[in-house]
Amino acid sequence: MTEASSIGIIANPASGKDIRRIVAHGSTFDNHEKINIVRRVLLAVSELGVGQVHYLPDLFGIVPRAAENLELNCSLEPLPMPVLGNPGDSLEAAQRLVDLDVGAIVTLGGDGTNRVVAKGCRDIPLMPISTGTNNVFPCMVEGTLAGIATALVATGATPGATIRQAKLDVYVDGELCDLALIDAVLSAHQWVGARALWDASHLTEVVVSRIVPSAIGICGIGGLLFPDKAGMEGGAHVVVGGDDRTLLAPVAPGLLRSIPISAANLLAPGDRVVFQPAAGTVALDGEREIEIKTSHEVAVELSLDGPYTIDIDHAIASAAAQERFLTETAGASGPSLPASPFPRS
Amino acid sequence: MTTSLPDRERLLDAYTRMVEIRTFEDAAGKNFADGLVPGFVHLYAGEEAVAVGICSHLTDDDFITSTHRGHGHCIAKGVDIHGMVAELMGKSTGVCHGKGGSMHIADVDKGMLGANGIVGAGLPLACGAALTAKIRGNGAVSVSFFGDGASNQGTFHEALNLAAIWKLPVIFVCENNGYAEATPASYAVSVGDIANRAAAYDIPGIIVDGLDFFSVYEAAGAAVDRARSGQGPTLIEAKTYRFYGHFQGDTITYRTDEEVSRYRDRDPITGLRTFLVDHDLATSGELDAIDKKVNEALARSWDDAKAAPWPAVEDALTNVYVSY
Repeated sequence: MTEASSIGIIANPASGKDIRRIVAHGSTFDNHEKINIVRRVLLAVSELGVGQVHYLPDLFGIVPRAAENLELNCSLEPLPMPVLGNPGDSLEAAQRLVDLDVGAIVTLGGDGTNRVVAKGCRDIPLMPISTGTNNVFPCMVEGTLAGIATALVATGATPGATIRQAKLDVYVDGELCDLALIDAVLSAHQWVGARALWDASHLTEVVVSRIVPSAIGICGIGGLLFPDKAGMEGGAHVVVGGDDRTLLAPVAPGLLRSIPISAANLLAPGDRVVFQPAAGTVALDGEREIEIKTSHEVAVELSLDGPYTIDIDHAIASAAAQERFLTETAGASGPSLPASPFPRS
Repeated sequence: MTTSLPDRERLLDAYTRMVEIRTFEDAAGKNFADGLVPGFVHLYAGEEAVAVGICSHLTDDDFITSTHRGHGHCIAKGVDIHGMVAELMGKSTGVCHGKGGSMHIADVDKGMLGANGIVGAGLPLACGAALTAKIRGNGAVSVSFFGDGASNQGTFHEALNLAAIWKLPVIFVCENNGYAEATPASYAVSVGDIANRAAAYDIPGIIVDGLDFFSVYEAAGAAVDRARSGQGPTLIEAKTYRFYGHFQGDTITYRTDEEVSRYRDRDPITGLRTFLVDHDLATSGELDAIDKKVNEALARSWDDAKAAPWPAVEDALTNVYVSY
């Protein structure tokens, strides 16, 4: 464990505020709660040997507000970058954190936020904390625990406590143009507009990078069709349509829809799906991103070379097994314990 | 609720309205500088996608309330542009017979309850119009346009609370252009995103890209449907930008040229134009023809307004107070 260990924080103030508050029943995730979460992260990493925290200087100032009135053992450094208040901020922040060689990146957002970060973070492990609407990739986790796990990984205390995630590479006319972490969807919805994919009547084809029957959002379709393959390495391709069968799926918070299923196949890593020619949009991780015409060829390839994420259970259990949370007290008998990063008062 | 692409006619109408607003504002700025427009003008250029995206879902039976920056709302709601030009010049042929000027244009027949020089004053008025609709049960909705500065006023909080407890068919549209006069919203708004304030009143609050017509249009459709079906109010925060200063004559020392340039690069009219051409809904030539027609019509409006008479002295007290 080195004193100079550093981490990054990318907290997206815009997450949890899209149209799904009206057309579905998504929660409004206010900035005050994001500040609270970051505050707990900071307190944890500060106690566990992280010396420096670099952060996206969002327009609201989530990280500096979180640090107000705290006595931290780490310094806070805003990334020297222009902030435009759009998803490009998260991408640039991730790229700058790579340049700084931080040990881990904490993200606050939903699947969409993490998709953008994943485009720039390379091999730096992510600690994705859910503050979005549809959240398959990030975890609903208490900020203190997220901070502990992040510090343990960033300081090298728990090697191996990361998991490499799958991803979907998206090609348009043969050119790699984007990626998705959870799902890539061909939608007949003609415009990007409010971005969030919520109208199931427009679904045409779905590719999911993982089989999770309990997932909220379009990703759950794959899991509900192949429940016996849950947790396996691989994804699925589903063609929507036909009259033979329908699947009741939670396409958005509080929004269950019957989806007609024409065909469904499992995908192995490396498999590539070419969407049928159509005019509409391609949605990535729940957000319409790319407007396409029938003349475009859109292909999606399943890859296991996605971003690393921190395995909280593994990290904390591993550190506990090393007795890193114990401190030898004066006069105690028995075997001596290693020095703990948690000084006891 | 439909999420299908609006038909070509409707999209071309939206494009035309946006071009009308831009052309109107550019000329208003120039003619104000030339001394033809008394008082102040606060130009709406850059924010066209908000007014048009919202008003595309409204009819003359629906009501809107507006702000000191109200020209765009008037045009989007269908107020006669010819009469608006004359109104800016204070001529008797104006929409309000020259007595309202830039900041007080109203046309009740079009459901335009008035621009308003008092920041935040339109919010309670929209609640009143919504209550009328609810009592009459006619399915009408009301929309209140206001800015980021108004969201810090008491009227905002009173209006949201009232609309929430009475489930009024009202849509609160905050045009957050980043500055209340010269004060950055990032400094003056405690919650960062004004949409967050909806949660305090137990109503939905969402953020849309106010520089993108479809982003506004889609959210507005959902909010209007929600209001018409009796589900109550919605707060929409449209992140937008004004291309000109707070008022004409503003030295704009509080924002950088680089910032202005960055937003001008995302011009909402250019965005809709590109969509229409890319989706084979219109050719560049057809859109150029619309631009030309709007330019020529507005040029005639300014010429006519210059030649129009001033209000007569004997009319000074007419249409000033409503008799009950």
